[in-house]
Amino acid sequence: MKKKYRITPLEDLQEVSLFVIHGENEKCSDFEFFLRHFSHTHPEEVSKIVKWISKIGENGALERYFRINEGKISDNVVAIPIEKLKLRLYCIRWDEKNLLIGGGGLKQTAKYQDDPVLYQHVKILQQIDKKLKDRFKKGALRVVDGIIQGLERLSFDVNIDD
Amino acid sequence: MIKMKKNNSFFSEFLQKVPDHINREMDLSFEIADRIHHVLKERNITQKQFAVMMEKRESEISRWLSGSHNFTLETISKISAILKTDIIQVPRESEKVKVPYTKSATCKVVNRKSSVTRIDQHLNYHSFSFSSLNKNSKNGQKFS
Repeated sequence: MKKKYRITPLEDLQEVSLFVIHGENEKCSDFEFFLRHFSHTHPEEVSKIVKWISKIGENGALERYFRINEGKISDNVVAIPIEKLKLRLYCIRWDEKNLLIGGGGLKQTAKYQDDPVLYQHVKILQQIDKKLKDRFKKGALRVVDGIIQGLERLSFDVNIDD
Repeated sequence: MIKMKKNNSFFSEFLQKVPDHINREMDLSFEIADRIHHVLKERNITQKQFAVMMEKRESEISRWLSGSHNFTLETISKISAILKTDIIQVPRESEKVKVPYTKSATCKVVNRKSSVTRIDQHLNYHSFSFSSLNKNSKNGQKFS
């Protein structure tokens, strides 16, 4: 089954622009759903994730904050790497200035691939990451002064499991 | 301070609700990681070399520099010893502070001459006077 996603700007922080993905016919973005859903069950973890993102916003989305080469997830897709959290939130670290935040969930298995919910969120971001790279290659997207231009016109068809 | 062009988003809403202790924890966590990173860079020490110095795996050093590692005092002390520099310092209001041990214990006057002083601006909010814990007692008096 295909689902259309668009990328929408969330915040322009001091050093980083935040974007979120928004599924067609959904009331809110995957990130907002994640925060609202888990703020009831895991309020402390949600707070840590929000604060972590704001710190990234202050300092820049530096590679070392993400431990890029340690994960098994391919491309630019990474889990927010706060230690000892049960929640996993996935994002695309495009560069030091641009962070696209996807969705996530509760980690209940050793590998994200073994959890259908988490795997789904990763797969969505992996497809968007690939499509973004293609658009950059074709010139539909470009970075000017650290700002991605052209995103507002784009939507992506993403394959999702039924 | 964070500059926000769009400050009415749900993100801002959640950020404003972050409890003070988590704000402080994450601030400290990033400050410590950035401090270690700064010292290594300043001395041209690679992560690999630092791992050898610390007798740790490079992946562990990576975690330390990620800004989201929960350091123990033991680890911070070892890093400080290996790098021969302070990673964190606790601010002191004065050289002499009264330290209450228990509710009925005798207050001791501790000489803090050799203690470290405040360096990181963000740590200001950790600064407090021990005397405020013991407003009604004088040096050497017992707590009631």
